[in-house]
Amino acid sequence: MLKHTGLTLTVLASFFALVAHAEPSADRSKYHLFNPTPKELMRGLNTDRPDKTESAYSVDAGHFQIETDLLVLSRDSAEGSTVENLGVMVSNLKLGLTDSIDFQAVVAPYVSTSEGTNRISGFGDTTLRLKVNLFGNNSGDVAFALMPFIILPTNSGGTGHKFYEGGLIAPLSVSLPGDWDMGTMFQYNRMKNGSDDNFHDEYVTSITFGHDIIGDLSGYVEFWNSISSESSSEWTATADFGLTYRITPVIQLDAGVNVGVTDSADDLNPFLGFSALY
Amino acid sequence: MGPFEEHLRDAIRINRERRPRYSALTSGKSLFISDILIRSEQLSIPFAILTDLCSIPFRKRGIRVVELEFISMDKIPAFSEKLPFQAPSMSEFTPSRPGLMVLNFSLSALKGGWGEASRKLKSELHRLEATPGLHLMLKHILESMLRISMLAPVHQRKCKEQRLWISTTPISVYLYISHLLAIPFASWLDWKTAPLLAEGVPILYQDVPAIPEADDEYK
Repeated sequence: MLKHTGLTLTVLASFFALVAHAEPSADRSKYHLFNPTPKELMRGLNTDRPDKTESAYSVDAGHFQIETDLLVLSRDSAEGSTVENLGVMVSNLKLGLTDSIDFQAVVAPYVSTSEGTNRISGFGDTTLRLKVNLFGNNSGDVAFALMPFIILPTNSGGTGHKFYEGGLIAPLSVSLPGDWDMGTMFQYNRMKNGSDDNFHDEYVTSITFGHDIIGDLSGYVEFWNSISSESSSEWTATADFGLTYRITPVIQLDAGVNVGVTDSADDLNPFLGFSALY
Repeated sequence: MGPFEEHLRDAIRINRERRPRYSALTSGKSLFISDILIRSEQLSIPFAILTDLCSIPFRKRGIRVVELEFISMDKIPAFSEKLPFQAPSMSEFTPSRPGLMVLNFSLSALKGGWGEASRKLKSELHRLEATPGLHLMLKHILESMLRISMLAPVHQRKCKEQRLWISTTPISVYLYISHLLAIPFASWLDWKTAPLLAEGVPILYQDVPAIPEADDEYK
């Protein structure tokens, strides 16, 4: 027990030391969008999904990655009414710009919301993000990134409003011994109020632990929570569970469910998705 | 049961006991706060168990990491129906800026280690002293972070004295980060609780123990 715990702790102990020293990346700095990282030097598939905690690792320079919710549902029942949301092919399209920066566009081709007999559907909003890995992309057990983002009101069919929103995400990824992975995230959102045209602040924090289960099958558990400065806001938190399966080193299937653990969170949010790196 | 888990289970028990009493004082307005407190403590239990497990090898050797960080819930004041001082005015309440705080306390720890983190925390706690009946959960979290950052080098020294090949630092770092991530929630809870405190209801004020700064607790 002491030996195992000791190993875990020893690796974690390097955290402060690692964050103080950026890794040497001279060999990779020559690669960019128009001079892609050769296959033998690629970091491989590392995804932001399926958990809600973003990864701190960027896509290799000059390479493209797609992360898609083939189908995502959510259901929330409160005070006698039930709201159901559906998303189809909600995708995060990523392009490696440099060795440590990737550009991401999250598009939602079809989303719908129904409550009783009322249903609205259409194209969803589009989120543009830039992931800037600050350290740990290529070596070490700890990686950290900053991700500014803006949400463009590209929705149609009354599925959203027409205001721009945005924020900043700070993910930290830690590789633990015994193939355990830990991820944690702090996120700030500047969002439009639900009741008027003013804006409010939102703060999201999360922590996730992942581990191989058998062969290419892995699993994770996550705690995610959000608070808002909007006057009527409540605490929103979910406990999330999921599985990933590597079909090949660059293609991954995933499925999971996010379970609301506070009243304001959706009761259930199952999803099925896949990711691929080219 | 480990010290962190015990701390949370005691807190849940006390908050459950006091929930109907606060509710009677506030015509039910406090139920929202009591329920959130209890739920957040319940949700923290799996993380507490994990932390307690990691601390066992050290505690067996007399290095009281995790144990010293959490103050017994026996130290909280007895239930009272009123604040022991004049209720704060809502006009005194300025919402804190949790994003900047998280950034500030992250950078201070990264750049200057435990010493700098302690200095920044003391400075922020000193600033919060100006509003004694407000920002109570934030104060609780920051006091806890201060204790963690002051105890970290003490535990570390103890490991060196015993010539252990492992250190308590990762546990201290994990505790610090987990508290850091709780700052937005604490700020939000304070904002929601402020109207009740302004009415003189001592919710939160008498439900969390005062956390003293740490010295060398092994002496």
